[in-house]
Amino acid sequence: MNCQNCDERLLDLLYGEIAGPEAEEARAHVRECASCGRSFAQLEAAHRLATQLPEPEPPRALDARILAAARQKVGAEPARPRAARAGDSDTAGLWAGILRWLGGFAMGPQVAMATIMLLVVAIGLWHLPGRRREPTAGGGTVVQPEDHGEAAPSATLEPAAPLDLDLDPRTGRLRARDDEGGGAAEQTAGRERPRGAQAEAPASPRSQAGGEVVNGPLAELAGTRTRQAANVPADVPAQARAGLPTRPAAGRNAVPLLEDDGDVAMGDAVMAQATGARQQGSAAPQQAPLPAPTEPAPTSTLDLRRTEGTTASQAPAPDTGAYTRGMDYYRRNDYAGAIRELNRVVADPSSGSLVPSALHHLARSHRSAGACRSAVPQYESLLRRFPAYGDAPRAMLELADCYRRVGRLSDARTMLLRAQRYQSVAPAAQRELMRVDQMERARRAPAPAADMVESEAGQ
Amino acid sequence: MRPDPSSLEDEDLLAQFNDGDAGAFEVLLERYRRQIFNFILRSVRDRHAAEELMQDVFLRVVQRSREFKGESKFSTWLYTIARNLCIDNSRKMAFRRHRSLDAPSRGKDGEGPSMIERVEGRELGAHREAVSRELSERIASAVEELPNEQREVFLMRQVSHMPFKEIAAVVGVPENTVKSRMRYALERLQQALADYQDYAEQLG
Repeated sequence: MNCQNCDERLLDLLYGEIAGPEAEEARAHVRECASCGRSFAQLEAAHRLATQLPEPEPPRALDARILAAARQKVGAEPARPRAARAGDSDTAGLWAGILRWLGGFAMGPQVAMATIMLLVVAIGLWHLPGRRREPTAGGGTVVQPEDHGEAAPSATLEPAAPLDLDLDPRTGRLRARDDEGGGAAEQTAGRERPRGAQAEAPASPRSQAGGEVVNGPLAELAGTRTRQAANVPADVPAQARAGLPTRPAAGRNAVPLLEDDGDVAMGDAVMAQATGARQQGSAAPQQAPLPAPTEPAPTSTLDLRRTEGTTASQAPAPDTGAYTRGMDYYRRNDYAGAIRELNRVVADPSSGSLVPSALHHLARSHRSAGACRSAVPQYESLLRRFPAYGDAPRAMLELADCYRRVGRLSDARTMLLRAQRYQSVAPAAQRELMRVDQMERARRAPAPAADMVESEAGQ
Repeated sequence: MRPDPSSLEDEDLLAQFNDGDAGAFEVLLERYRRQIFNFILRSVRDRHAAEELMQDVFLRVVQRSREFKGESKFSTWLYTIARNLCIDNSRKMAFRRHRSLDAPSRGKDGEGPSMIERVEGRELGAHREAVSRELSERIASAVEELPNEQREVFLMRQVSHMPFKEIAAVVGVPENTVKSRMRYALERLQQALADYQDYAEQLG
């Protein structure tokens, strides 16, 4: 067990939430490692003090009132009908609940304000041109879209346009895509826009070319209209839709699309993540530039949205068995098992989107097992083949650490300079740089004479 | 013949209560009354309010017992109710905090004599008792001064002995976040109670 793993288990150990070999292993590490031992001792001391927190007894009189209410309840509904009249009572209960809820707000200023707002909106709608209120032949709608050549309908009544949005790579937020020269498909989910010409407009060149697919998770976020705008075929597998943003190799760089997990909506992307599916690399690996200082997306979610040299819909469904086993081994610190399984994933051409993560954890397994020389080529392969990998900054730090451990200080320095462009790892990279610098200086400096050392020590 | 209620799981007791057995609820109340009361007391920092809120928590359980679907543990549901009521209460009380901002805070650096100074000249047994009493007060104060999110996690783990996973379900954050908060809470307590470190070692 290494220090990081041990540190994560200190509280479990303190409160007895781990047992057996795991607890023994953690205890053994705490005994042997001064740093972890100190941390544990501090937590233990605080825990011991905390046991002195007084726990006063609540008054028994409270129990009497609570129990009276409990008895009243079971007394009041001893033979509650479970089937026959359940619907009636539930309905009555629903209405009673609504009335109670309304009663609670009856005189509230919020209700007054809301009522006024509703009245204002209703009066505004009522004063719209008279023909909008005329019932149509179908009688189904109150407001009918205008025919061509007539005054356009009020914007408030026109069916909403599709959300023509894209993601700003700098901010990770949605923005209008109108400056990119091409409206997305103009259809909305389940209905067409009233303007015939627009409804029949061809899909945008990007969509037709198949190179540009709008962000699947964002389509999930914005609802079905965005999905339609993204022109994602309904029969595209969920996993492929989750990994949508495949971009043309030219014209766009490989700047990751999102910076923040918080911007990712639930949906197919999350499902894909749950199954371990990962899409990697928005552009062809050889053509993709190094990630700009913009932070790559965190691995946990965003590498799902990249595909390696292929569109998401073409990506084969990878076999997740070996990957899952490998990750399980890795989490259990069984690095030999992890290396065996993850090597299979990396070697299997059908692994596709799982490769980056597998490669990263393969490298980590080597490193955690103390085999930095074996880890180095794996890290190098990862960063070379998948420059837009979500956890690339962390991988750079780890690779730099391996370089340092095997004595390749110059390479470590280069890698740290590259890593420090990423905000998330910049402080750690800078600290490591100082360390590497010190080591380089120490290596270059001639060995001091013994008498000089003594005189310095004497001072 | 019905099994002894005290041997039943919480969820079974609630089901029995829903079937009309008020005695089952009494067992549940007995199991949780003290834990819930202390959780609330340290959260709202006012005994009278804590008594009212504890009553509200259990009355809500009585009223909504049929809403419990058994998808979580009863204790998770119970603490979720208690936590929500505490949050509601703290919002209500936000504008009239009983504790003045400029009131001297206990346990800060430079306040009063050190532990060593207080120890000097006292007889050990009497001293231990006094320290224990004083320590209890200081711990209670230190716990109450923890940030809300750390305090609730601390109380659920330390006082109510809930596993981190269950606390995560109540608070609605990942388990690792719960552990981080717990760790911060313990570290803060240790800092606030540094004077009592030697005493803590004797406790071990």
